[in-house]
Amino acid sequence: MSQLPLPLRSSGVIWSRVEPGFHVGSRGGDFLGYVERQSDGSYRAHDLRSQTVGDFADLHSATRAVEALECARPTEGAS
Amino acid sequence: MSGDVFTALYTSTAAAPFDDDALAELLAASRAANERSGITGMLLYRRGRFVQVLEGAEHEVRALLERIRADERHGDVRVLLDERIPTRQFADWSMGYQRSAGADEAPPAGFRDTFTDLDDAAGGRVVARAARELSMWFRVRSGQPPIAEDA
Repeated sequence: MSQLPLPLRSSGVIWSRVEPGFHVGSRGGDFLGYVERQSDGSYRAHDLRSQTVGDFADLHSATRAVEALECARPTEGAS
Repeated sequence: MSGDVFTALYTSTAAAPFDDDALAELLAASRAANERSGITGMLLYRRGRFVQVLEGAEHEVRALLERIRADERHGDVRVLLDERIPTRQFADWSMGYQRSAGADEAPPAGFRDTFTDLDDAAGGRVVARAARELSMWFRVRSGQPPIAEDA
């Protein structure tokens, strides 16, 4: 399981459950990523390209990993 | 299949339960008609209810919505979202299909329920977000990136 240092939950992030085991995060209308429950009961976090961010023992940790992607994303115009 | 695309999302109630054969028949007819009119989209069937996204030329999408309203297999047809989008989200599907497992249990604490939001009486941003969540879910379930890249 990943042990990433995770920031506090970002404000303004909305998490929705589309169906059992599939959760989508967004903020201000922009999607951040999604979390899928795996057959072994763990949770896999994905970015917007469906790349795996990490596997986590609980849903909360997986959602925080997706939120951390937004925090780490360069601001627009920066390269 | 890019450019100025019109999309609409509607929900309807199946007049009678659809078994697998009835759904297959509906999808086959839908796909053939959509290919002729340049319409793409997705269809979700969940607990006797259809959720469908249509995208294409505005006059074609509106004409199809009128045919659906007149179709006896659909009841309580409600268009929840219609707007212009820069890029088709379902360019590869004349009518993609997923059957949702549905959910009897409440969503986890702190999570919204997409299907509840889809019925949000206030409409607007809540419904639009729920529609995009469904779109994203569908694309992931179909092995595609969650969001189509702009052409």
